[in-house]
Amino acid sequence: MGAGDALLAIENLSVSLPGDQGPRRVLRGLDLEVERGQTYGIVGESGSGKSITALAVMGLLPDRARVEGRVLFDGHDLAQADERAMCRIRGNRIGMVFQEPMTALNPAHAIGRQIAESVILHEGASRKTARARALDLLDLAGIPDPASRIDDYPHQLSGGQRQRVVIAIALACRPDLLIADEPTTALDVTVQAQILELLTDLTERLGMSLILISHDLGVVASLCQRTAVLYAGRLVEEGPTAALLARHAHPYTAGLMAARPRLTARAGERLTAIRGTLPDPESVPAGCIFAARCPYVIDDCRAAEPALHEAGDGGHVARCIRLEAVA
Amino acid sequence: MTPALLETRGLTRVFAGRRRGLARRTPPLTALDHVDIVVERGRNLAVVGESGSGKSTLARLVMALDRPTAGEVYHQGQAVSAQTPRALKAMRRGFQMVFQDPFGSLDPRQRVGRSVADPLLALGETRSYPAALPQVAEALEAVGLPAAAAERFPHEFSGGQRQRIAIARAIITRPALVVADEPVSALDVSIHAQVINLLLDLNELFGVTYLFISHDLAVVRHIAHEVVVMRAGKVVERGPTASVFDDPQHPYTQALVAAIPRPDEPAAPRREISGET
Repeated sequence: MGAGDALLAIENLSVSLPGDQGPRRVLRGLDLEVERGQTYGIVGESGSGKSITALAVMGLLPDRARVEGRVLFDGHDLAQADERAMCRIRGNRIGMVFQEPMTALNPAHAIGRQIAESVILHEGASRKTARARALDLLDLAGIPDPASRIDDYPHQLSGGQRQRVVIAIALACRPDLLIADEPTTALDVTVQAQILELLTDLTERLGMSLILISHDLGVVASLCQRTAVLYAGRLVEEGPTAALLARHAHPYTAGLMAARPRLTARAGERLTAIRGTLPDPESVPAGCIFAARCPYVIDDCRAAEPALHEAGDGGHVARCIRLEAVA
Repeated sequence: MTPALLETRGLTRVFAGRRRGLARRTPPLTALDHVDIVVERGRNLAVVGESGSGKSTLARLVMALDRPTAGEVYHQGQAVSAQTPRALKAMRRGFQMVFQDPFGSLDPRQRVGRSVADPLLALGETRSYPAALPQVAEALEAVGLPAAAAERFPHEFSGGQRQRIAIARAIITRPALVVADEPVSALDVSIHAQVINLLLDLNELFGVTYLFISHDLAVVRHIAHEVVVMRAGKVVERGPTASVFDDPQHPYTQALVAAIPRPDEPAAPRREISGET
């Protein structure tokens, strides 16, 4: 990956958490770069390390986590930043949206107050200015007739509207980077489409970068210019989304795409399943982490873990020694 | 004519409003409003809808876990409300359920075999757990797990394996109808396909028919011959799955179909649907 105009550069980031049988390495040697104004997708299942990556960038990992490597945000290393320096960046320059809007909001306060608090905290604005800005933010987040909703409490809103409020709070400080971790997973499909549209629209209008984290390759593909695929704590494929969709270079990505149910299927039509189960994070095998489930596996795959190999244009890479066989 | 495997007529469920202070109550909620569905043997029916559509209320009524405010549920022509408790218990052999969350639906303190045997013991046909063991082993093997899994505890299994266990429990009485409420939506994507294929295998092996409740239209296409689309407690569209999805008539169905993210196609402008249920 080139030096480019990277807003965020993650270099060789590893995270381990204490486990019953020694440390669990939940993220291993992650490298990725997000440019200014770029929409970047991180796809993975449970245990892939996708949410750990977000927490590492936000400096929200638990104290017992051991972090190695660097998280460079606009040139500053966040992995080494103390809590005070982190506080200036988190919220001021990076906003975050979580999966479950109800847990992100305080049920006891009106939504306008919660947004205004964020404005006061980050900009030192007066109450009056902050309230006016809360109105603007609600409008920006697509809440219809914000003046009539600003004094509503979270329980008076639908799931989609709550997520819009969470997005409004994340935008309060005009962030350079918005991280959205499964922002639509808890929402209905039609609402999901609306929230994804809102995120795309906001990235364009505000010139922010967006990291969208999801288990759903479909969601990421419809929104992101670049995509990283994580599996069991390891980056297995990365590249421009279009290139990645045109050629799923890693057998895991290819398997995920093939396993998706099809809208043209007949009743009774079987899916192409990926065999086996996700590896146990406490005992990651030597060699390629996907070997046990891979239809293309050969002995060399188990001997040593593959490096990232070039798979196509635009820096499209995959951690596989059998790229030719997969394509 | 043989009666349908499952039929509901005018099925309605109204939840009373909750108290708000001394004199006020929230208005009553009609979760299900005169719903008629028919499931014929061998023809899987999917009920599609979002939160608040009434699909889970329908599942509970079909399973006789709740009583309708009006209307009736018929299992193979027998009205549920006309049954004595004893007759209803015997009827339950014919319909079982698989829930969304394989973590919540298994008792963590019980060995897996014991949970799988539960429906048999509840029916009173098998007096003791040891007597049920051969059937437990058979059910576990049918869902692709070793018989030895019976001796282990739920936490020793992954989400996908736990859902297999829940499915084994549902089929152990050899039911004609299995109500599956979002059975794959809590599972990892790479495991989805395995569980859907398993459900289809059981379809063929044991002649199980599914009432399949889901918000995922693509999954529904693989499972269901017929589909019912629900919104706010009412059926808005019904028909053979292929024709409903290929040529949706109701604006809500059209919006549902349009909202599916498609990774193989470039991002297209999506049809807006106003409001939320």
